[in-house]
Amino acid sequence: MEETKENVKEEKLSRKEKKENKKIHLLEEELKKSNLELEEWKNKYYMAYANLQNEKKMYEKEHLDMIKYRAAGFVEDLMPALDAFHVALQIKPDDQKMQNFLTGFEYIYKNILSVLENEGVTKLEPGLHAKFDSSYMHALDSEESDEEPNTVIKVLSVGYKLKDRIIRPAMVIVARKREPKVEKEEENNSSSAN
Amino acid sequence: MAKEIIIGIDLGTTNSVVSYLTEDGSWKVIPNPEGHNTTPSVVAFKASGEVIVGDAAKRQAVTNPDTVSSIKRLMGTSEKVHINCINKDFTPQEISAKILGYMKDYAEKALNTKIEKAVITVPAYFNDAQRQATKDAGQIAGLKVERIINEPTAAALAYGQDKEKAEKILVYDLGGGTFDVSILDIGDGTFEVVSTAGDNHLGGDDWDNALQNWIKEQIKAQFGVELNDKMALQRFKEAAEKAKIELSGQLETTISLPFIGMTANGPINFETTISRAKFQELTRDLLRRTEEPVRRALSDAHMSASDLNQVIMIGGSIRMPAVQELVARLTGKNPNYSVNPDEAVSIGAAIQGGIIRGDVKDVVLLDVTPLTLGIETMGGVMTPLITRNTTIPTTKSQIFSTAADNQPAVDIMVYQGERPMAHDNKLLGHFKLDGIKPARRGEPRIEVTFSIDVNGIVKVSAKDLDTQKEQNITISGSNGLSKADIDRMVKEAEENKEADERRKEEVEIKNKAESYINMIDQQLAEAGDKIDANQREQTQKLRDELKEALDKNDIETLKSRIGELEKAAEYMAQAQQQQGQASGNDASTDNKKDDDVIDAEFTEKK
Repeated sequence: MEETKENVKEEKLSRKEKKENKKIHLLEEELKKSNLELEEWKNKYYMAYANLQNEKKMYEKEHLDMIKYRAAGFVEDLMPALDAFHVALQIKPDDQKMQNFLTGFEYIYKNILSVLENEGVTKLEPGLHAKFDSSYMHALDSEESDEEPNTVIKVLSVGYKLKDRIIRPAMVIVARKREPKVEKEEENNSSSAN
Repeated sequence: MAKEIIIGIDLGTTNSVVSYLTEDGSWKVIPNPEGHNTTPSVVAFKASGEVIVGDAAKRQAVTNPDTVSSIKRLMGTSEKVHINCINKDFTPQEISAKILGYMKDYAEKALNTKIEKAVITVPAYFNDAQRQATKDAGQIAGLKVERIINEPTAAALAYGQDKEKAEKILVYDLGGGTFDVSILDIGDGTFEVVSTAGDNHLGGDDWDNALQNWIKEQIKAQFGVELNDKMALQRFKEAAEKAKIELSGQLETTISLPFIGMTANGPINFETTISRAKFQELTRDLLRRTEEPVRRALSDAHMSASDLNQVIMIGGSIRMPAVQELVARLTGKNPNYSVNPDEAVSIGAAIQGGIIRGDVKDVVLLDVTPLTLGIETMGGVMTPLITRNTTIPTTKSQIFSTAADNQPAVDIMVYQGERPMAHDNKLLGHFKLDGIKPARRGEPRIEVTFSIDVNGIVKVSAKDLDTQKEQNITISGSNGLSKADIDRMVKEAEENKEADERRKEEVEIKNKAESYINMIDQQLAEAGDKIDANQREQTQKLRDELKEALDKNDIETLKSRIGELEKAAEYMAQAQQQQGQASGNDASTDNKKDDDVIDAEFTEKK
């Protein structure tokens, strides 16, 4: 009798227990899911945060560049005028009066250049006989010459640099060895494929 | 870096562009070390074994026979390029690889990360051999080419086209040296190129040349001299290019070439104006040459213009109005021009890279506030806390103060809209923060905080920083406005901009006047008889004039009197300092306070 009672009790207990266990199991599952979700969000949060930091760094760099090179467009627009000055001042008149005028203009030109210099603009003016350097010169043509090949024989226009960036290279003509026509054709082939 | 980057490369005949997709799904073109977004597709070799790519290579092309340009035209052929100086043959893919490698390199430097994968574009008419060669070029450059896509497809992607929407698109691509027309048929998840046509030797450079020749002829006609020297020709070229660009934005431009040459009579100074109409007349034949390929592409696709859903225009030369008009006339469509035409192809490749990486879907779409949120401050002015188009969730705080002496409470009126006067906007809600300790106007510090959560729910709180007392309100209906309402409100704000600004300025002047009157009253009372009678009388007079003008609403007088008063206030402050009264409340600090800390003060509202 007692035993049966016990049994019943036990059975009851176990039923209750079973029910509770099931509940615990469900909750555990839920917790697991929540934890996973938490982890996912945490990851996303950190990722977003890291991205923000990275974007910020990049933005800062771009911003600094923008400040550094802010005068680029302005200098570029000014170039035709500077070129004209440069060309005009190459003229050597025999008339003294004219020469006085030109000297005055030369000073004005220098004034402008010094203002530009303060903004970080430097003139790129390769000397004659200088070795051609593609980092700041643009060769518009080559001409047969007795000069050392690949040296500057004519400067068509000076170039300008803003800080460390080329706004426009100096336009030059370089020397080419006198002789074979074949080489010239070949050169044309490769450069006129444009 | 969360995810690896797949760059998009537009490997062009004359120029190449590289871009990438940022984490938030927007694109960026990566500038080369010289600061340019496009890099000349030029490779040069030197006897020393050095290889130069891009701008520098282009600059030395004339002097160096071992310079290779337009290698794209040889892709897929078995032709080899012989490089004399090192006596070696290169395949077209090896040359292209130099360009790709150079771009990969500067992209890595700019993004500060290793790049191993790329999507590269090719012309739609490229055959399998040409595509394979392009892929090989990428591999030689150390890039895993995730995909080769057609240039017109990339352009369509850059314009937001997705492959699910069935559409027929014509892509008109007029670059510096080549012209291509393609027709795309999109649907069933594919971009199919139905037909292509074009002209391999037609581009913006031809327009420059036409103008350049015209300048030369004008000079000949005017001065009787034919200028052929290198320097003059170079200046013609630059002037022509500049004029062409200017004529895209204006109807007329001046071509000025002082000292362009020398004669026995001195220098030749040339100047002329040219109209857009004249330029178009000079280049009419060139424009006409683009018509035929458009027709041919349509007929090859067995379509007529009316079958097209969209027209996309790319390539730098489509900026010319005549080109845009022609395409509109031929197709009956008005293309949009929202993507930079020089960069669209590369951007499309980067987007394709994003699709492959799988993150285009993954992008979290964050909302923005459609309208500005703010509170009403003294004189009925709307003081914005969160401006329109701010990405949410977000939080913003600002410190305000009282508008009258011993003001016991402030009313926080929350408004939404773009108009500068609060009442013209939509009132979202209001609440009162009371229990402010008796103090002079401007002294209590009340922090107002707006926060919008990810669901667009706005919470506004106000906290007295002195007593720490806080009140708040939650507004959930702020997004209840329809798109039409929002558009209307933004439009109204634009239409009333001038009148609104004037009203706001008036209110600000009146507020300023009022605050000066208060301040002077205070200062005069504090100074007592320590200030000389003359000064007192003068200041008093100014103050009364100000008050009168304020009562009569005479804004002009207010403006001029405020100027005088500011001087007087300064003088008073100096007088006080001289008397050694370090009350910490002299006129000059009050002045600053007005400018810096307290942007606006609450009205005393009931």
